[in-house]
Amino acid sequence: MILLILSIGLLIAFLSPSLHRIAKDNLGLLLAIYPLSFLLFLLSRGSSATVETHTWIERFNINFSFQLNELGWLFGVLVSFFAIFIFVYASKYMSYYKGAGRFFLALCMFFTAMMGIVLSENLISLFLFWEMTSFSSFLLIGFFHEDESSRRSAMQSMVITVGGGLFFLLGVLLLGHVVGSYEIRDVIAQKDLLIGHSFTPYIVGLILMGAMTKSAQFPFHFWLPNAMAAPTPVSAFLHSATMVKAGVFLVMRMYPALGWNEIFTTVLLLSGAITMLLGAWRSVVRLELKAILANTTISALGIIMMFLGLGTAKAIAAAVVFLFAHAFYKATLFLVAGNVIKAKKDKNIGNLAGNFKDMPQTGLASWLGALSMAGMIPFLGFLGKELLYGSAFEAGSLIAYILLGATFISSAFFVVVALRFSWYLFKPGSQDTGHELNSKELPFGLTLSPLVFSIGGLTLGLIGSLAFVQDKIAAMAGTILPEAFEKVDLGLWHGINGALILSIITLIVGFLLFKNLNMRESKRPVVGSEKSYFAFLSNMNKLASFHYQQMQTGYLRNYLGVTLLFLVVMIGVAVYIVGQPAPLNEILTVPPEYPFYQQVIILSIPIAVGIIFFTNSRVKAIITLGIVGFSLALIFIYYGAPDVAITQLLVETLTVVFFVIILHKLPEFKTFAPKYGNVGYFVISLIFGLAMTYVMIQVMYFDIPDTLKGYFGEASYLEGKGKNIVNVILVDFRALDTMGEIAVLAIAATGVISMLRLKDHSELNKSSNKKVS
Amino acid sequence: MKTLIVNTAIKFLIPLFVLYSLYLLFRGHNEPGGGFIGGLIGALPFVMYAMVYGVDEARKTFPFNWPLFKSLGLSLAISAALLGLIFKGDLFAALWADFYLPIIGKPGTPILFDIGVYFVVVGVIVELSYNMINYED
Amino acid sequence: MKENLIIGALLSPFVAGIIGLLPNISVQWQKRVSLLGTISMMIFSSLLVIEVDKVGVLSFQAGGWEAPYGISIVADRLSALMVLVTSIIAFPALILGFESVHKDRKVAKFFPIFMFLILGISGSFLTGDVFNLFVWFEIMLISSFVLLVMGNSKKQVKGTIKYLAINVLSSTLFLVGIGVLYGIAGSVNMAHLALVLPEIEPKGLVALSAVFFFVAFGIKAAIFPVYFWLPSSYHTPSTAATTIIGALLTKVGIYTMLRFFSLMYYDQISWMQQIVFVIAAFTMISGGLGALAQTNVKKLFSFSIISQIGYMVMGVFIGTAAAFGAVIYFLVHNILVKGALFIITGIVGEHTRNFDLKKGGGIAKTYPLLAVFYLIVGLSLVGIPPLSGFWGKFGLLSAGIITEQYWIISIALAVSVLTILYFLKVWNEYFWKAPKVTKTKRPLPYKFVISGSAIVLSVILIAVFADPIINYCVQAGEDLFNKNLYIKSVLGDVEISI
Repeated sequence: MILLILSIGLLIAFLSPSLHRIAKDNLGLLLAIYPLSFLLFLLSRGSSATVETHTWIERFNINFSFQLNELGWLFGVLVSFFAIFIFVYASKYMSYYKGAGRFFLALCMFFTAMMGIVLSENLISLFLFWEMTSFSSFLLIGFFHEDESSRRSAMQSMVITVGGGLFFLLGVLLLGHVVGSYEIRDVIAQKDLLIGHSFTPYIVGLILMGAMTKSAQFPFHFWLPNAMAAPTPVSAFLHSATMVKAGVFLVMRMYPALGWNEIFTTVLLLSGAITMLLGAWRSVVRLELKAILANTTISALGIIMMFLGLGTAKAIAAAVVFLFAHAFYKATLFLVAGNVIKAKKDKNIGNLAGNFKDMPQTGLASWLGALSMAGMIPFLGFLGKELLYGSAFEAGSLIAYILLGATFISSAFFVVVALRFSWYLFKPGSQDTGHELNSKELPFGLTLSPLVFSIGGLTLGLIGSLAFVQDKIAAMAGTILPEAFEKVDLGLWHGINGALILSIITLIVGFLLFKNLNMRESKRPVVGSEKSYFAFLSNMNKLASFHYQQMQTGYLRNYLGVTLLFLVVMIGVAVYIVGQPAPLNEILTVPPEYPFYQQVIILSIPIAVGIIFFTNSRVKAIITLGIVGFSLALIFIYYGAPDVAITQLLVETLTVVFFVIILHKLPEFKTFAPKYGNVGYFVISLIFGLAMTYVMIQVMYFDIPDTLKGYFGEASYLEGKGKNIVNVILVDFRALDTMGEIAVLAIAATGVISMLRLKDHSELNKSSNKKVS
Repeated sequence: MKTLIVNTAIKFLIPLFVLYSLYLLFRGHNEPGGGFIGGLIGALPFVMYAMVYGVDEARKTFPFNWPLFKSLGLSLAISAALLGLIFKGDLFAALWADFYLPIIGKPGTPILFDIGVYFVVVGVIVELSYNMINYED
Repeated sequence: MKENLIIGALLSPFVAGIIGLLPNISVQWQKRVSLLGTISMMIFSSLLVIEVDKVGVLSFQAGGWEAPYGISIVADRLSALMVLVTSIIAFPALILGFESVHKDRKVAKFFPIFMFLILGISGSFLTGDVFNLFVWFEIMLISSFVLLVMGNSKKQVKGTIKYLAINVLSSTLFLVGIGVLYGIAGSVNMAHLALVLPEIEPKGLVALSAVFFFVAFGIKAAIFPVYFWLPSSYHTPSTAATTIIGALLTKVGIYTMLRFFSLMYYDQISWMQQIVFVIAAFTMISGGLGALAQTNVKKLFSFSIISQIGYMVMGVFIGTAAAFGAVIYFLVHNILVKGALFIITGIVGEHTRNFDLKKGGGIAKTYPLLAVFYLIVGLSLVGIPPLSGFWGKFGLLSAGIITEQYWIISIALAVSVLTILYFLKVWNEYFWKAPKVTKTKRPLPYKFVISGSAIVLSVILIAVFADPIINYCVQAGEDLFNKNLYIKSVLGDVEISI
């Protein structure tokens, strides 16, 4: 059923360019039915432990299997709820641009992929959807692809996430090798196999690479701010409930199997902490609306990862609640940013104070979202922060207090950002004088979704104390850390405790920072990982060109030389490793016995070759080449193969005839190689000749088993009905070979003739062009 | 190159060469020779004729469709293969008549095959050399 | 007589080629005959695959001379599949040629020679005889040479001379190898050799002969450091020729390597393994870097061929049944995907008369269909599931993990990053970038559309039917590993002690 829905979703995705022709600007509204039905399906099904399995590759034991456990189900509900309103928003938003069809293609695919990730039970099918999110977000980020920076950002996100995906895949493969199954429940059930296994550190590292690249964790954080090149609805979707949360989801999903591992938790803690501070700092020194938000996302992701790394039951529950809170306010604020940019055609926050009168609905949403972000009571954001602080207090260890400090700092920065998005941008009663507004207020299609998300954040905060909400959250946290989850306390009021006091201090510090921090841009990178990415790229390109120039010199003599040397080296290696067939001195003690005339023939060949090597005249070269050929023919005669000898003689004759025909038509003879450059090639030839001689004397030293010779000798007259064995072999025993060879002749003739007849192709083009003009 | 002796000799030599090449072709199954050797020798006089009199003259004197030779040869060879397949169930299986012909000897598909080889070789060499002689920069 | 399917698959291109060579046949008829030959070959080879899958191996002896005296023609699962894939890739390449081959090249018998090339390739896949293989190689070499040089521009001749010289050298080494092999084993029949070679003492002799075959096939397959001929010759000829040559020729080298080192030289793998892994690693990296440095699309994908060859060589020398199966799947995938890349970028290049990435751009806007095609095929190449490249990579990696060859599979994985980079480079420059000069959009000729759709469809289909295909390939790999089936089919019931 789930597979069916996902497949239909993909189908819808591919149909959307066609649907665009029918639905026009309402395409998004029409397509919103898809996430809506997915949501209804999930709600009607409820979570369950049943697994839906479809065989995919039987041989490799890989299935499409899905489940609706608490974690996946709740994530699924979140994602599809967000998708509905993102689709609605995008429907209006994209009507301002061309290419809505392909936009929704990618968006639908992205949504489907995200649902696939959260519902997958098999690691390989999870990987499939994982890569699908990378790819579809690549298309979305590169939507304005005629822009160079768009293309670069899209490429960056693809390289980082797909590259990370490769590591993830290797981790999955190793995991599957250890456990013997790719089903996550099997992995969890047999996690004992992993404990102490030598693969485990690699598995943990590789899977974390996947999660960290996807969730923009340090040092892979830099692709995310650049990803805002995408149209705003995409940014909102990517940053709130999807894409970046996929990495978090993966960590949560694998937690029962790998959470015990110290490398796993330590890496999460460390990189989470760095990411968090980095993002928080950068969010206040950016002026572009979307860049500010993107950096707070990085920070928030760091917080979630960090608390997952802390690993106590409370910390996990806190991470889960914070994740929800963040999703709601971040989607709200991104859409608000989109609206402001759309209405004012400006994206620098410094120029945009006081928009409340112009856009009251957007302003309201912004206020609600910002308050949640700041962690004001009674918003969900407050609950999230309370739990974070509370769990850190409860854990009580040194690390927990360090975390607490870090969380406090970034929360304070969050307050700054929140105030900028509420007080600064939308101070009630204020009027922006710097910009003209295109219309009085943005259309309903653009204000509905931010309002829904912001009110959602508020509502969840208010109903947090209801038992069923708490049960759901507890159940979800329970799938991450199975050890004893009864319920998560989501009450707004717990009396005055450390967490509450710290919350209040956070607000105060944040407010003070807001008042005192100048809004100015600082793009000086704190850490250079983006720089190293570009350095990697450019060095790669440099290396590539250097390597290309070294390899492809364009000179045939170099190529042949290397090829011959390669053979010699391989022969040497073979002899070195396997050993000589027979010791050389043993072979050489048996002196060869050749009669005098044979010695003459044999000697004449190298002499002739030597002449060819040094001659400057074609005629001399041809004649000496002829000597080699005729000498060979003589040797054939000596060994009793008259047919071969005759053929050799005739071919030599013919070669000379052809040369005579063509000789005076050839251009002048030129020496291309430098005079003394030949020495190297001479040495290579010599080494090659020695190696070949070595092989030949080795082979000759051993007796030839003459199965074939004997058989041909007997059978050629009796069965082949011919006395000339060579001919019987050619036309009967191995007629197929002969057939092939005459085909070669025919092809060669056709080819040579076409070469002779055709003029230079490029000249032909020129002449035909002339005719046209 | 155009001397009277060569001019005259070549005209006499052509039939001799061709006959000798055919002789080599057919005796090939028992003595040195065969389609390849026969073909090489059979092509030589035509090449020489063209070298002496020029290609156009050669084409006029021997109005054979030389490119057809290689197609013909390939077809003969493949027919020999298929006859074996059809009548004996094996590709290239030899079929032999049970009588002898003068010069040719015992007719059979291997001989047919060899004739195919002969034609391809003659056709290819003559065609090639004619094109080479005619080649201009 | 199921064996006649083999004959049918070989005769189809052969007869089409012979008819096409007739002196006065019109270009129109050359095209028709070639198309007919290709389709008929496709039918025969599909039936062959179905039959072979039932019985394991089909074989016959040319002339009825019993093995090892005559020439054995053998179709096992691997061979049959390769022939089928050859015919599948031949079809769109041919259609592409109908539209794009320059008129003069057609007159000069482009299509018949194309058929002979197909014949040579299929023959190489089907023969069970080492010397016969040499003959098929010759057909392949000479017809590819003719296709590469047709058109006769100076650039082409320059590149093709290198192609010819180095490949002739490869043939020579191959021939020397055969000589050595015959010298030590007295036979050229592969099945017979599979029985004889392991018995031969001293082992050093066998190793020496293996080296010749490895280098000869390595040159054909374009491994490091003997791949020079490939990038210097592949980008100059017409796209149809580049497609078929680029997609298939190097893979024949891999096929023969796989055949030789599974059937006859299996015990040589143990000493060669680590050395070949080093070579394979360099091949992957060097090809990937080479691709990254290019701005000509055809040249870029020529280097990409080399990079992928490294993966397959690695797979052959991992040397388990699973690895063989993975290599077979990778072969199928790579033939189709590389063919598809050449076809699609070829269509773009031929249609816009520009193969230069720097000058190109805007294709995603003007020809969105081609952009979609490129994405599908490119993602297959990168190895994004569920497309075919993923399963190839998956198979190879897991085979590597099981045999604990960690360093080489890590490199294989890292090189995938290079693949992503050059895949994206082409996409960004050729498809996404706004063109410097906007040209008027001309509609695509329908033959281009057919050709592109056919090849992309086949790329999609091998992903959709991944399960049965992988099943078949794994079985084929096991057959290669066990080799009894092959030997028995050729030699009859002989004593086999392996």
